[in-house]
Amino acid sequence: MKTQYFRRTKRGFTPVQGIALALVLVLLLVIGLVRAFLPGALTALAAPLWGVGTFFTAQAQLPESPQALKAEVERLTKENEALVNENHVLAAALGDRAETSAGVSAGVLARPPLTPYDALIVGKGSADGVFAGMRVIAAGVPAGVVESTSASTARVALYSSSGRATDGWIGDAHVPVTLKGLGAGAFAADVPREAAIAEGDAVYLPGPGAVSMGTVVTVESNASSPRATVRIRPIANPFTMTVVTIVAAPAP
Amino acid sequence: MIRYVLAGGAFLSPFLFPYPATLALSFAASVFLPPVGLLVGILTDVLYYTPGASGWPIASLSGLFISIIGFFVRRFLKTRIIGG
Repeated sequence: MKTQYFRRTKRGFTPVQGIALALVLVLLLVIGLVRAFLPGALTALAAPLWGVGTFFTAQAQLPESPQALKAEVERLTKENEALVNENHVLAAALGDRAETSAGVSAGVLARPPLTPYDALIVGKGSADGVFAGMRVIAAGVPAGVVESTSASTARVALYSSSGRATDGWIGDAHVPVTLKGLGAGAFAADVPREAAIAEGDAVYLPGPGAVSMGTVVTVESNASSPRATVRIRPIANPFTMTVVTIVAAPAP
Repeated sequence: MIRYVLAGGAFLSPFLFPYPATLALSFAASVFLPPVGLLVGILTDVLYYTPGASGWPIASLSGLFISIIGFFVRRFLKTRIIGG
């Protein structure tokens, strides 16, 4: 007589796995409560790990050779001289309207693509005079708004966050537009097809100095539609932001 | 052993690596331990979720999706290995 043996399928978790799962859930609950009531504690713990991540990112971004580095330095030096001269000319032209607030300079602890959202975590908080609603400047152009702060860190929501709408205008004709964030630093805007907007036009946000924050890269239109879609590339790339300036100027 | 290494890597990933790497590690770990995807998603949102940048906790939702996919992949593989 043939006896048939069936292998019993293991279902569910073993006791060890169950205990481990319960511990992790409790840990995450505690972390959530800590974030809610002691927002600075979590970022203080995470800061060394973010530092390690930044170190590896910096190593990966080193240029290939010293010659390339030297050429890059020379190019940037010339570009810097040109920008300094241009800045003097523009400051003289603007006179009293030029923004004089120095703001708070803050290092970026976490940026895209480490953060899955178009958000930054910066290393200055309420103890340094940073509060929700302040405007964040990166590479000299408006980049976002402080969303929340702890004593030593702040979360910054970038204007390019997916779905975020920001009012601004395009070009010398000052065509008013609502800039829609597409994530990863990109923007789009819906404009009338007859509006005199061309590739290369500067895009502005309202605020002191009215600094350009990006340029038009494409204007997509359809002969059957009265509207056109404008794609905008920002001047400040969120993937390479290392230092930002936080100013008290109201955000648009 | 490999399941615990993958799970550890997935939990460290939100601090160290770009989020696509976090997604890949979470999926790999979820094939062995399905809840890992969801837990890593919650951890990522605890660290980075900014209401002004997104209306939805996308990381947690992605983690839930990865856990479900990981669960079915695991079940399929077990069935194939044992039954086949």
